[in-house]
Amino acid sequence: MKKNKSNIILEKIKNGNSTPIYELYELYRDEFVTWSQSNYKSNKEQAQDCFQEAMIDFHQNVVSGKLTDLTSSLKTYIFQIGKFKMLNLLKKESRLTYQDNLQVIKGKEVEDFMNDDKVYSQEQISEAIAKLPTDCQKVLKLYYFNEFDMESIARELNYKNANTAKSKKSLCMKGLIKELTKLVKVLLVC
Amino acid sequence: MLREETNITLFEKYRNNELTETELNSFETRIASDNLFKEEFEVYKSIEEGIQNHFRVELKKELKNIDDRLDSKSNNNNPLSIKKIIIWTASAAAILIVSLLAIQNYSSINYQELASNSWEKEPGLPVKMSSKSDFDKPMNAYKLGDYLLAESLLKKFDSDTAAFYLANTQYELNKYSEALDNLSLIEEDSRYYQNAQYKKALILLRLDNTTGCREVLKEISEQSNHQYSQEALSLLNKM
Repeated sequence: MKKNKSNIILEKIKNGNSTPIYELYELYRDEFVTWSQSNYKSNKEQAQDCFQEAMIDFHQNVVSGKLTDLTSSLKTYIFQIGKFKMLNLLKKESRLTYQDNLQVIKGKEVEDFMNDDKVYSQEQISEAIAKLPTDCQKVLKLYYFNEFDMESIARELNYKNANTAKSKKSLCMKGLIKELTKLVKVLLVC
Repeated sequence: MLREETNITLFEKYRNNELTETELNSFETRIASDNLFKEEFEVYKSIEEGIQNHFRVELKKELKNIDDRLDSKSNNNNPLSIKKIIIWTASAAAILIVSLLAIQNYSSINYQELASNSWEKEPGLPVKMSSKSDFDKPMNAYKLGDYLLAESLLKKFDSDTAAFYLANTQYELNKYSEALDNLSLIEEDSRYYQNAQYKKALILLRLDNTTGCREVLKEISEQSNHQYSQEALSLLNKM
């Protein structure tokens, strides 16, 4: 079957290529902002933020395999996510939650409510990732963000096989936990 | 905090569905009964979430960079004048393109007409009832206008006659480049050479290669004993 343009874009994203995300964002950002301003009276910053979140969720839906084929256009799909993001934002700002949409879209809203009692803060995790060797950062990104399986990671990073990739990922994860432990110790000493 | 490295390996195996049934039962029992173990597992999961989040934030930063770039572009320029410039440039470009296309189209139609009006269809070799020739079948097909059949049959031969009629057949099939290639195969000592040379010029004209066409026509017209010198001269004048 001949692939259409949207499916080619989805495939590229699925294969770890972020360029289509940047291109789509650049292509539709202004239109979304205008649409959002006229329909929801949002300001430019709010609209841009929602559109960024929509692009991230779109990316996540593709790499996780939730979105494999589109019945609508890419633009319609992304705008639909953006619309829910905007509704959530507006509801949140009026101290209400829009629970229904959280089931429709894989969003980050739930995490925001649950982020309080964690042992490691997001900043600490990001700091620890930044201290890891580049290859470890790549492995973790491919595994957790691009949701690659071990075989794909091995192929992408020229490892011998999936087992090598698995060992590497395990080693990197342990390295990350060590870094986190160090960071917390420093914090306790201070 | 995660203290035991063995637990990390265990958590990884659990998350990757790599535990055996016994190991899985043991794991779940431990989660239910060992608070410290359960706590460590929660921490492990929260680190995984944190990693995902980190890369989401990275992507968001990239998108914000695009915002900065796009916004700085529009801030550096007056949006109204940009709009005007875009409209003017687009209009000018459109007019230019349309004009060029019109000129090109007009001229190509003229050249094509000139070429096809000057082209004389070859009658084909005679097919005699009294004797049989290898060319009978392709020539019959050619004369009957079954050019596809004629082409496939002529391709089986390797001679100047075959190349000449193959080129003529391909011309009828609008396969101009292939026709040109076949005409180029005909050597100077062939009785078809002069005819092939003139036809080459016509095909070049048909393909809008006026420079190539002029060169060949000039060469023909400079040879007074060339069968097509007058035609070549006349065509050059028309061009």
